Amino acid sequence: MMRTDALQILRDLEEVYTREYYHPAGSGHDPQILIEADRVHVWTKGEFRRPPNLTPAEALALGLGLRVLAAEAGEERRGELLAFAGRLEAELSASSPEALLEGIAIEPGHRCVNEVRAVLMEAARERRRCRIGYLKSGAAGPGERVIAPYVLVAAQGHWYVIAFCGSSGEIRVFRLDRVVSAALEPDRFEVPASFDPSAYVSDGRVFRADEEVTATVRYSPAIARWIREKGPVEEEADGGVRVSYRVADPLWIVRHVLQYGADAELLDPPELRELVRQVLGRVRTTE
Amino acid sequence: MTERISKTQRWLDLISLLLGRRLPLSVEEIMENVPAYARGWRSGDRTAQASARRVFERDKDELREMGIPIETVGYSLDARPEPVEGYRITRRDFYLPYLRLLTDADGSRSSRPIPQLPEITLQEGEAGYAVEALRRAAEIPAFPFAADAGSALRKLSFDLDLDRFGPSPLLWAERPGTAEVLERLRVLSAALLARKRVRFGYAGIARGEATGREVSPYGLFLQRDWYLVGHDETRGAIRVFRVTRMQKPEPNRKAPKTPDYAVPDDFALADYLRREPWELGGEADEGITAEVRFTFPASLWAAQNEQGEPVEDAADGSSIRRFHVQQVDPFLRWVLSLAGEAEILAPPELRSALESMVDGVAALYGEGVHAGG
Repeated sequence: MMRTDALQILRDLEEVYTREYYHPAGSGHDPQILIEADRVHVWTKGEFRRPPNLTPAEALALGLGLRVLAAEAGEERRGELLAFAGRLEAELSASSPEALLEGIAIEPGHRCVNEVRAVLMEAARERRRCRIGYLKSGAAGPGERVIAPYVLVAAQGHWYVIAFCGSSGEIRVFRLDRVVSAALEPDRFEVPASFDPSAYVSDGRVFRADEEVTATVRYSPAIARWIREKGPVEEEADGGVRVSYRVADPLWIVRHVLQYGADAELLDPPELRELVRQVLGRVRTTE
Repeated sequence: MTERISKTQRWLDLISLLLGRRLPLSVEEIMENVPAYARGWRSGDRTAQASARRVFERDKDELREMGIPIETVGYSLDARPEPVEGYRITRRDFYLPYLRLLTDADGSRSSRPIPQLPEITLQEGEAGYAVEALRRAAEIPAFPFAADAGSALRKLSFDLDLDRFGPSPLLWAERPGTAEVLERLRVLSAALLARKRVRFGYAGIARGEATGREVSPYGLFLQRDWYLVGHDETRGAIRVFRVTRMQKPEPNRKAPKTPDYAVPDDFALADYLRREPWELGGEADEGITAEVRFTFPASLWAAQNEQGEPVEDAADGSSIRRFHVQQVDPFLRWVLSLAGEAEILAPPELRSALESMVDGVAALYGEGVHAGG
């Protein structure tokens, strides 16, 4: 929770208690420190008995975070959050970070997706089930299902929810840009103690634990440098690269390959190469 | 006595001294009472005294940049007519105000050892927002102020029980190379805030090789990846640069306290957000207007994700949407990736270009790619 490691804490404390040995400036109420195996106790009546105001950088972080929440919120709450951000920045920091905030931004995302995300975040936080309309890849239309959202994940510019799906009876990964509607249900749920969200994330990607097909894609030398940015690759003699993907949705890997035009080729398995041919045929039909 | 007093200890001593006094202190009093300065000050050697004074001036400037409110004040001593200059830190300006939840009982003022500090009362929901905002900022990958979000959270935890607000149900998947991006962003954000130009090598998506750039940073934003917006001095125009494609950004180190440039008043970072790859580059009145038909249910997805602008909805659930295209190649590849769920209606040259792209991809998969699938 405190987002710092034990070693850093001990180093900082050492700087504080070694002050005792050279008659430091100030009131002389130097801290009394007790270090145990898993905690530290500090008592002081001196000048550092309370934390200082937020620094400009801390106020910037707070302001940016509140603006991210505001962008995700509905119309009514957005105004409240922005007003609250202004109030806190004025009262908790010696200088307003407004000028700093003009130079740094986090893209808020599309309004409809933000609204879905806000509902799912609330559902996950309060452990309430959620009814969603989901546009499954390749389906004829959106299907409705009730899910128990365990955690939301942001990966490579997309949002996902990892949830127990009432329809399938299993944990599923849903991409939020395919969720066309979301509404809270009154029923609550418990997250199993065995659930580990990190099992669904690797090298900055989200994947389903039951992905069974391994697909290999070759990328040309022209775009190899961009692919290396995204994760581990296998180098080829001509400067191109190969990447293996664990795939649950065949259409996902086909779409992924096609976005690179002729600079990417799905090498195997053969059934996925055939799927690429079929999709290209469909594209020709519509043109 | 310890052989060496660290910079942190020196700073703690200076802050502690000023906080502990109600009246301002003159430079001489500070030199005498902060042990790290006193060593040189009391030596009687003028060089050592000047050196100690310089260290104090640097410490004062750095602490002020960090937000420590060291005031310079003029005051009179012993009814002398000429005022002297001194320094002070007022407690009200230094300490974090007391934070109290509206739902909590009003604690006795005697439990607050600094009575002149104001109290900020928060609704439970408001406190939750503040905690959530800082947790969110602390987790954003490669965010140069993530550590500051963490330290702000620690400060708030002095008065607020963070466990009350439950864990955040959000996880950021950190991509390989995040540490390198963070280092670049630290350089860029420092240069942006100080208004110092930066130089870096840049390999844009259109060119194969990296070219040297000199840029005046106007803003940084995160949209799937981190981007710098700035005036490219080499090209004489505003450009957008992806941070992962930069090589070794370096700020202009000459005259570090003097800005190299000013951000134009009419610059708005928000104008650069939510641009798709095909919308980047060129002037707003250039480019091509394309119309694309989305079949159902892809039409729902396009509407939900605000792809282009709506033109027409058809009875069969399909829809036509309009796009402003500055970069043709990324647009065509995006349409291709929709796997037949989108059809370019106009202009004809874009339809032809997509057909050519399909031919190029089909050649990789041999014969057998015909219309109808």
